[in-house]
Amino acid sequence: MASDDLQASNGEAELADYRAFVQRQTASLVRDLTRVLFGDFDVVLRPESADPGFGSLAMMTNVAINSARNAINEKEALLDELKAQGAVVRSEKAILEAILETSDDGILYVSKEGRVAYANRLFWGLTGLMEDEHGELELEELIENLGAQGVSPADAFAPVLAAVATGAAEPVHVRFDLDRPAPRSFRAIWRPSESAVGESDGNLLVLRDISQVEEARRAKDQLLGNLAHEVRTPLTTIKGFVDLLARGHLGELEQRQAEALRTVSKNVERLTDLVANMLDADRVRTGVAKPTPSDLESVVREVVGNESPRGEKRGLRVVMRIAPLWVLCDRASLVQITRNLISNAIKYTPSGTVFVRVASGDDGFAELVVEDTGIGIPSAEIDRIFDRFYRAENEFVYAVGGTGVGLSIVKSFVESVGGSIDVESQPGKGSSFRVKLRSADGVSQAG
Amino acid sequence: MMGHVMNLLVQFVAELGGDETVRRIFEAAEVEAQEYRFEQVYPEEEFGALVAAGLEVLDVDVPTLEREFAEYFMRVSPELFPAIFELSGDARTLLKRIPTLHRSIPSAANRAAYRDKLFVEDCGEGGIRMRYDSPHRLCGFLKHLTRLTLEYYGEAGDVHEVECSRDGKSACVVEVTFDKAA
Repeated sequence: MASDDLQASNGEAELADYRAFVQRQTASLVRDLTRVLFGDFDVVLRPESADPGFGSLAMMTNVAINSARNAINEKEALLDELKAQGAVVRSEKAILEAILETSDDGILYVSKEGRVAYANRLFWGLTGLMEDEHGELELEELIENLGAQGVSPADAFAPVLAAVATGAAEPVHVRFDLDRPAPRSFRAIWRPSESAVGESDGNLLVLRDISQVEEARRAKDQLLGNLAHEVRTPLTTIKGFVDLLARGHLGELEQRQAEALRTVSKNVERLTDLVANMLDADRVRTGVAKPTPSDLESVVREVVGNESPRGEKRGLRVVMRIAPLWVLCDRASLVQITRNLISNAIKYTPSGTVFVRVASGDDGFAELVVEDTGIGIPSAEIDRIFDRFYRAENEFVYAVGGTGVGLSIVKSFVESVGGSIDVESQPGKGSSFRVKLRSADGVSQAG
Repeated sequence: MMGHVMNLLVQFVAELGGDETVRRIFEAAEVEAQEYRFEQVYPEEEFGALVAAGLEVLDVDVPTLEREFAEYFMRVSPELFPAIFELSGDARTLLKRIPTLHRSIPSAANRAAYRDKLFVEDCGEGGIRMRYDSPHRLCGFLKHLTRLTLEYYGEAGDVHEVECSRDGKSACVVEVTFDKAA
């Protein structure tokens, strides 16, 4: 064999060897990378020889595999952490659900988009609505559907819808009744719910069935009313005999006897006032004013004439500016309204002036305004002064005495004949009560 | 659809009818003639158009195309991916790994376009259960591939379609049992 041929033959053999080497290396690489593909990240590529090309490829591939393994480990650690957090969240959710589902209140959660997102079973039970029909309704639709349960609560929920529309952050209290699934009375509080970072996250409606409370209140009212009626008759007799004794019709009294009798008389007066107030409260419960024409001017003059002497003893002035107006409210109720307002003004004004004005409004209403320079009402309490039996937290108020039903009677009577009452007050400066009653102009004044 | 499968379909047609047939199929499908990229995900409509054009140009029915394409697929795949077949070791392991392999192929850039069409559930002694949910409804192709996989490993078993999307089901379900004696 010639030298050239030998060299060529050697060259071909080397090339064949190198091809075989490359094939082995490639097959080994593919095999190792396939193991990686199947999830074996412990693979380490080891080239058969120190070939620089395969050495670099193997090194960089090992680095890439390590990077991938590290990334996967980090993600797995993160996943484990998330799983652990998920378990905590699930546990807390289970606790929260248990609390919500065993609550004595119906609870509704409305998302910030305005849709019903959650309600506990009691909510559906109390309202008689079906969860599967109302579970994803918008709040307005839900309220509308409550109307099918007998009494439309749309008006009661108007403040809630207003709060939703304006995004108000203050809680809203509402009260409403439903006829179905059973006659029930409810008190509800609507309040925004905040996320962990303090952002508005939706709203909660907590619904409390106050039917039993209302029933107890009615029973109490009835008891008080009956009691007052039962007490009035013997009290009248006692008062009559005390008067007879005081006037000496049953014989002259010694000084000590007269003093004792004055004490008895004073307390009989207080007891009589108390019973009168209780009977007024009962009247609010059982009846309403009638929209029959009455002479407001004469009523005001009569009441001021009766009540003002109590103030005059303390130097209090009662100033009247009275227009001759008739209003649609029966006289007995009108006397009650006027007396309670003027009597209160005199009682709670230690000194100064009580102004009583009657004027015609331009909207078909007559206005009775009773204004004083008295102790005034704190703003925090002004919404509650028309509640029955409510009395302001004030030493002077307690010293003056009373049952706390006077203003509730006024409000009840005024509203029952289509009128309204509002109040403005500043503590230490005085109060102004403005009653609007429908004018009787054009209505027969014979009644 | 993965470019790898589309490329195999084109190569299969080329083997059957040559480059002219491939050109006619692209033309009939109204698809630009091209070599599909292995790691790329292409629109399903494009694959559907190629299959429909293949049926028309080759003048074959769906079962024939499914059978023939499966034969080609299983002939070339062990040559293209010897390590996968070798490391899997048996039909059951390979079939279970197919969804993972499919998900590994698309590049990161177009992974979002990828949608799983095959789900494999290991039923233990009961074999495996494959759920095939594809708009192309080529469950015949899947069944042939499965039988050929058993054959590749020299195994015996049963491939049985229990639900088919062509019968109005939401997806095709193919159950595979493996004969222990094999």
